[in-house]
Amino acid sequence: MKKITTIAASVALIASMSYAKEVKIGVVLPITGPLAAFGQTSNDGLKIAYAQNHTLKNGDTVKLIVLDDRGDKVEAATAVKRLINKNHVTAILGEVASSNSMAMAPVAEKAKTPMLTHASTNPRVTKGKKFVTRACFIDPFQGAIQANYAYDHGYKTAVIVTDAKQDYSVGVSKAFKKAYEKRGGKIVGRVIINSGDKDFNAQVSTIKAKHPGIVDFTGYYPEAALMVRQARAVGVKAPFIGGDGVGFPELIKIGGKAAEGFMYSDHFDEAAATSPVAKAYVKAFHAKYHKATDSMGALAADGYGMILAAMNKCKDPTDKICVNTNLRATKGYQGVTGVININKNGDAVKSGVVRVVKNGKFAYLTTVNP
Amino acid sequence: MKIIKLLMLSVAILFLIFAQNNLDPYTVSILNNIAIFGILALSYNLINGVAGQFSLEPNGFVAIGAYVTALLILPASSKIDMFALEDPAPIILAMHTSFLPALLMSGIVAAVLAFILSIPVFRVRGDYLAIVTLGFGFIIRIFAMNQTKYTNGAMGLNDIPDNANLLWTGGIIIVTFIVMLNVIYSKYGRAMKAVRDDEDAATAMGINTFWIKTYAFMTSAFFEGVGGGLMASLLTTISPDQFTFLLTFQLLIIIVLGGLGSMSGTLIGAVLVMGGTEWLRFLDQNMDIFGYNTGAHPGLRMVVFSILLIIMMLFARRGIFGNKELTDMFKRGKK
Amino acid sequence: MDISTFVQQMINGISLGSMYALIAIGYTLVYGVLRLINFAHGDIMMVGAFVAYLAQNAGIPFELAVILAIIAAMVTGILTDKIAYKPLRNAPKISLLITAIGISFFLENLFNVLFGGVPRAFSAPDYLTKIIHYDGIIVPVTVIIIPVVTLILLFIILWILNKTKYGMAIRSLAFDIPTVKLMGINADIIIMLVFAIGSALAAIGGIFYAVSYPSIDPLMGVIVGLKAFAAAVLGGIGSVAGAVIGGFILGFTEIVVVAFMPDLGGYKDAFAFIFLILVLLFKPTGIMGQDLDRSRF
Repeated sequence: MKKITTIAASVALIASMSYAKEVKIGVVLPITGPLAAFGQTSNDGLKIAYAQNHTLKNGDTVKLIVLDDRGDKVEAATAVKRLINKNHVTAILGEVASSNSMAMAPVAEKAKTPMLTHASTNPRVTKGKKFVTRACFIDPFQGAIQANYAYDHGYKTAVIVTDAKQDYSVGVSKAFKKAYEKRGGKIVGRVIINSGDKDFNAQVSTIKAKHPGIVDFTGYYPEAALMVRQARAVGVKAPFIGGDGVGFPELIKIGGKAAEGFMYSDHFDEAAATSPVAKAYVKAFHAKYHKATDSMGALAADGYGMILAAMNKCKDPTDKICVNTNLRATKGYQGVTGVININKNGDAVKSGVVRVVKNGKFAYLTTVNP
Repeated sequence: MKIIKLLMLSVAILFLIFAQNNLDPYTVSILNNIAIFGILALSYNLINGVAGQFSLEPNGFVAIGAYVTALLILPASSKIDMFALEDPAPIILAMHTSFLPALLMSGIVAAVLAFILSIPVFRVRGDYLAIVTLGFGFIIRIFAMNQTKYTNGAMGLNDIPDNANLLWTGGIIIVTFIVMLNVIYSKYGRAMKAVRDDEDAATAMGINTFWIKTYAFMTSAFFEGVGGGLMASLLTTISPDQFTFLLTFQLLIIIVLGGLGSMSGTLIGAVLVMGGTEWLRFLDQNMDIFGYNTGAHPGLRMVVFSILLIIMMLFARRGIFGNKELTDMFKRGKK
Repeated sequence: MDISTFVQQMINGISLGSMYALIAIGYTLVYGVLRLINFAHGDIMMVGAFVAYLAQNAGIPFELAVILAIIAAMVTGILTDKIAYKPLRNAPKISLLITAIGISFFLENLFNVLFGGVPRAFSAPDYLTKIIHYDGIIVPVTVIIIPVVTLILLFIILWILNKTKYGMAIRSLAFDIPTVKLMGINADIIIMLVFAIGSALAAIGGIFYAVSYPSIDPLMGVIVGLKAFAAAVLGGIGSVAGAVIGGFILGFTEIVVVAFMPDLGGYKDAFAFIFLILVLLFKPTGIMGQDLDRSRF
């Protein structure tokens, strides 16, 4: 009896193995380079999601091929070409920075391969494209979150700080200005920085001279940390508010005491995560990494999940057109970062949160619904 | 002799047509890369290896070429859309031509700039020349980053029409190679080598060293500009960050590896360096299968590359061809 | 702008200038003796900052960490010379330059691989991060300490160069190496000393930089190194006092010009070179330099 069962089991196993294919997803992330923090945290979350599930409904296994683009947009575009032509991936997940996603999008579009960016928020990433989707909200929404929060809490004048090197920052700045002025707020100044700079003396002096109620910092955390430090050192008292690009532990480590009270709009916060999916993710994350969760990881997990869901709806999960159609048609997806609905532009309509630096840690303030 | 050259030329052209249509896009993009860096390196070799002026400036001219071509072949509607920080200047919107004139413009603008710069640059020599040219390359990039009305600043330009393919890049590298060989074997080329070997003696012989150096500089700049334009169309996206000293460094490695002053060597150098960079890519990733690997050490590729470079400098300084050409080998009848 | 901001910017400029000066001295010493532009020098500054960071992370107190960093930088500098420059002593200059660039890339990428590109927070002891409020001017204590320390170090170096026999050896090497060797001086040891001094100063400069801008990453030495180098040439390459003067001029201009004309802020990295080119055009040997190009190839 035992022998027959064993033979039967082996035959079944071999049979299933011979039918089970490998479905590949190409992942492009900035694992090194100036955006390494975003790439690495995305990767961390992705690993959790992968461990939770990497088999499709029809038995196929999912394989991830992760390429590091060093945060450089040319590398990103080359990586996509490699993944599509050499590795024959069915879908592309990435990138983080809007500048890099915008370099990747035309390549994916031309090769008719679905691309899902989990974290790029500039509207131009999906504009006019049929094969690009995103798992996150877009900058107009994010800018509005910041503007409304600022105005509602009594800050009626603002200085906007824009990072001239990043499409992300330029996009959020525009969105903030539009939403803020619509509410009646007044922009009293605009200051330009460049990512990679360390010295913001001139800029903080300008801010000081304008006496704003609040400073809207639309760039990334390395500059945010140094700038808020230097601002406080020259006596700027206004609070800082920013976008999802500042929400990293280094903001607090480098910014020190000056970072206290720094608010920002973000995609995810553990405190607001009440759905079963979110809770399972948070639990697995803590168990593996022993550190607090962050938006990039959660979004990457959701991006991955969305791709899998789209694949599962296809008879042939390597059918790129089918996967793309399903991705763009995603409705009511229960993700870690909330319920995701993709609209006709390929953008996600979902809620955001506002967080703040309190007592040397990130704390949850409130949720904002679309 | 002539028959061999013609034969080689026809084989090359046939190969290009074959490759463009039959090989997979990834391999084609590597070949394109090799061709473009070949064009850049060949022109760089002229000023550095043949004329002996240690210039660290190519990244500046390549940048100019790239921007000029990109701005010329982008349609006005894209520009309005793309210029995020500041609206494009009217002249930017107005300028628009097709690919070949755009490339020529790139070369011409770069050459003109080289002419203007040659006045301060050639007032100094040796290390100081290197520093000044390094500085100019730097300054050009900073200008590109800040003149947002003209260049869209640090964000660069996207969605550039991709007219460049192997026929263009391959064709132009063949043209560049032939032109360079002609220059080397002409009286200008000999004068450049004289300046390289001993500038004071050359002056004593009646050579107008300033004009010879400027001539080399402008020719170099022209082709570097054209190469830059090709690069812009090939990559479809450019930003000032691409034109840093790293680019100059890569060109330097290529020409030294191939042999300073040898055009044939440069071609081989381009193949080896660009191909090598791609081939060494496996060093950057060990993360092929999730969780079942030692983990990736991205950046390892560049570490190995730097070590290889240092070893090469220590043990094989003269490069592959020294300063001879492939055709020299045929002439002598030696191996 | 009001007087207090003006004074504040002036002081900031002097502070930044000191950091450039410290690193510039290293460039000028090595160039003076070897006629080599040590492109890797800026990365030695980075090594110093990183070692100090790592030491502190391991629990070592700041002062000791600084000493460790200085030693590490000196070792790196000396090793670089032994492995990469010494074998090429008589090679054409372009080979040396390329090797130097190779070492620079090697260091940057090595640290990238080891530590990743994420900027790390550099912690400094409280007595360095205090901020003094005086008459409406807010002055971080570093802004005073750095220039003072720099000047002290400058005097020490000048004393070594002019009043000790090692210093004399260094100065004569700058003139002609074979003759010096004929006199029985071990040129190699003196060259080692030159690298050691230069690297030590770079490490100190790097730590000062990390204290003023507490975020370190493997590429932090690149731009600062280039500017310090421009400063050295500006002041007259081969002259230590010139390097310091060049450093101060550069740092000062950078901060003050941007303060007065904020629209030019994006160009600030180019100032160093624009300045440099202008000076080279009119006084090719720099402010305090002698014409070294003729004396040796």
